[in-house]
Amino acid sequence: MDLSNIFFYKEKDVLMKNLVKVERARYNLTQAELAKELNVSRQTIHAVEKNKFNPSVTLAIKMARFFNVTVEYLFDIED
Amino acid sequence: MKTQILPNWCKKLGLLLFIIASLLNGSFNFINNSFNPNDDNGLLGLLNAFSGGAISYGIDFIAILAMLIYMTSKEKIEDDYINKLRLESFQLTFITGLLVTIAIYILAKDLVLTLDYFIFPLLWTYLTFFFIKRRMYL
Repeated sequence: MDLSNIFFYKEKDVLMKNLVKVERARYNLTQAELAKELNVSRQTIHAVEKNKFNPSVTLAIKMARFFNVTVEYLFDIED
Repeated sequence: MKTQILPNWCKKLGLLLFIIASLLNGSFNFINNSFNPNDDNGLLGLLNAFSGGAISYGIDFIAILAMLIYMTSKEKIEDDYINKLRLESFQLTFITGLLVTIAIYILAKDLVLTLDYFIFPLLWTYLTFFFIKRRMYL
């Protein structure tokens, strides 16, 4: 049992990978700017990029639409 | 269920009220104990006698109410992530509370505590966990 996971929780059970950081860099945006565009906090963008938080379907769709890509392209389950 | 029902500006109001109430309570107790360490006839005793105990009770009540206002106020930006952190903080607070209760029960089975001994630590624990979790991913 890993007690550190009680406090420093990471979503390791479902290994997700995302290209948010890549797409953000492509659009030359900072985390704060992207957060403002999507109406979320900067911490949320940071947590999504670091795979510490899997975004809701709504936020995933919002991100995909903003970057003009599909949700499947932006978020995928790691093999 | 959304427990954050108050607008963001209420957070500042809650914090301000809590600081004022805590300072007042602390000051009264300090003055009371400095001048009359062994009896209850100091400034707080005098005020309590004058108000029938309502002053001391009222200040505590305002402090608890202020923390409740702070806890139920919205963040600047409310999103899924902040809701998740809030939920995790509630879970941790509940588990910590249970563990402390078990420890107290084992160590001192006959210990009798008043309600304020539970409410203040509970609120403080939640706020501390939430604060740490928010700062963790900066």
